[in-house]
Amino acid sequence: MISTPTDRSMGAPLMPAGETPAPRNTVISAENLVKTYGEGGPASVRALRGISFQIQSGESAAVMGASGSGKSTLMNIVGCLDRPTTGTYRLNDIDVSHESRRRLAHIRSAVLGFVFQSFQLLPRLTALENVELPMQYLSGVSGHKRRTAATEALVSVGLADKLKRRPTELSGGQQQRVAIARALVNKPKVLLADEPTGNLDTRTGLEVLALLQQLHRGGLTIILVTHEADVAACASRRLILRDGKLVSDTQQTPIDAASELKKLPVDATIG
Amino acid sequence: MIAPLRLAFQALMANKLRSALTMLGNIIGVMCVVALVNIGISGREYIQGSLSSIGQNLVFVFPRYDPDAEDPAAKWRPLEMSDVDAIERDCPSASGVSPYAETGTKIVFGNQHTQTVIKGVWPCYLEMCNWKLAQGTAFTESDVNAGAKICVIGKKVVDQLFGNLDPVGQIVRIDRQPFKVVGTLEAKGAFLTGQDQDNIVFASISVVQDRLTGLRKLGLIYVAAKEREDMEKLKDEIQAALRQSHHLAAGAKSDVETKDLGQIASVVDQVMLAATALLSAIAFISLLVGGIGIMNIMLVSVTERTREIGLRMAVGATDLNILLQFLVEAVVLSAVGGAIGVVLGLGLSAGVSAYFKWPPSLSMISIGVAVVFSAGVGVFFGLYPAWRASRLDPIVALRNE
Repeated sequence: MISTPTDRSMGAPLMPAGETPAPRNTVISAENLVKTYGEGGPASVRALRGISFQIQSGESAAVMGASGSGKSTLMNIVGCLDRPTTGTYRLNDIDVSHESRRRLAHIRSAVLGFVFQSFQLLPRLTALENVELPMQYLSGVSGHKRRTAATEALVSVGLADKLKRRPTELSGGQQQRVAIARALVNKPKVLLADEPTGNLDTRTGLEVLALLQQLHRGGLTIILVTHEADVAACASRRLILRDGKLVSDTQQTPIDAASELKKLPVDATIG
Repeated sequence: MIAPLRLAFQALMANKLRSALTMLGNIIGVMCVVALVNIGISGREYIQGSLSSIGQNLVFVFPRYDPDAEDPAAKWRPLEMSDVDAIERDCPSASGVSPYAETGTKIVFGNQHTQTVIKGVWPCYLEMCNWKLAQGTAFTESDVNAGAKICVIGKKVVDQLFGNLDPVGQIVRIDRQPFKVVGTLEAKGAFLTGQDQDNIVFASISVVQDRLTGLRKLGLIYVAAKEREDMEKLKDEIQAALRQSHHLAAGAKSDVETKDLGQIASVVDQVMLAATALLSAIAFISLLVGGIGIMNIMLVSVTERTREIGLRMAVGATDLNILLQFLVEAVVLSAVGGAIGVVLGLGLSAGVSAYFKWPPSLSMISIGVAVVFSAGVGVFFGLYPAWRASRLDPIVALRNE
């Protein structure tokens, strides 16, 4: 277990600071986010041109946009993998716009869970070891505790019988479930899913979406990044980006992925 | 710190052949250092043992060769029996003094004969030079004074002439003159030079001078110090005694040399040390080259595992976590190589020592230095790749295919 002195005090600054009277249940608050790549240079690109929105605890929001719309840049900032050039980004009521790389890493492990299009599992590790990974970077989690938590997370995504399998021995849908279990294992405040169905066929994609909806019903805040309208339809809110600006922000009644799954003809299953 | 270690072993085991080949530089480097140092120590111990078999506290006194002297007779002035008496009388630090003369000759018993060296000495010489009697007695001072033609013979001569017969009391002929064998010596074995020390006959100096060489002058006097620490003092006493005995003017250059085995041993030591240092330097270069190999492979590894690094960062690894992960991997790589090198090096030095019948040696310092140095190589050459890994941007790293 790698431990750094500040690990233990991690949680404290993420508690509501009380300085601003933001609503208690606001997890994400973006104010006028601007991101410019190669600032000042001849090839400077303005990926985000001033974006503001808030996401409440327990929401499920889909961020949509064509490639080049700035949605990846936005998600990198929301995921604390990147910092805005200007503007303020508050996560869990803490301003993280100007935190150091080290602090951002701690925040990612304590507050966020990531699910990627290409799963991003480590091929040498078993499903269980992959899920244990985020806990390695939290101090004070014993090996036994890690194993128990990882097993629970895998059971909750329906992979109780695949604990010792390596990613290559699992189907795409199963791999993405392992990735979701890994995202859940540190009990994050927000789950960020970047095109989670992009590498999956329709049925498996729906299965993954149904799992995410189930987690959402359990109280998890989910942000779904996608360019597919079908996928975005599974969220209760839809934000649309175009040319670095937020052009639409609407509430919607989500479709139920589980019942969509039942409507599929049996022979639509491929893998 | 267990987790990074386990992680490092997992990563290295995933590429067994590559890891093994990368370690080779360190294995060879450490093996050479450990083997050379231990072989060097064995060799020195052997040489020192060999030198002390001659006698430990000995000072050799012999005429100084002076090429600048005008008078040809003064270039090299042999020693006299009176010099031996002067040393015996005027050097309180000496425990024994013996004149020394030798000549090669044939020794005959019955129909057996062999070529040997006959040495003329005083009775105390045998003790001064660590010779031990196997049978019989040595000759005494009264034998010397009486000019008795008696001798003590070495093991090799016993074997050559007598076989299974008891030599004590037998008459041998040396240079056609009858000598009575009164004692035999224990074997000493070959000297450093390979010369057999046991092919030897001792007789009284007076007999050797009168009956065999016909020379009254001496080329060499053996003096033994009472204490090992008094060697230098003894040399000064000898110089003073002989200046007086040779009537040298004050300020004139001494006409005798006084040397001891310590000086010879230290020359041998210096040569051995220089050889060990040179070869060790080459071995350290091999370690350095091994380190560059480790750096190379670690850079490859960082590139290959860019996505892994990105993912670890996304799930909460700090720069320091990543730095440590790769640094520990490099150190494990070089330290395991070092450990294998230590084992091989010890095996090699044990083999060499056994082959030459040298005393075995196990220098803990050599092992410590080699292990610390090889781990240091891992840290030094692992730092840059690990630093590169820790500076990766997680977004770019995750996108890497």
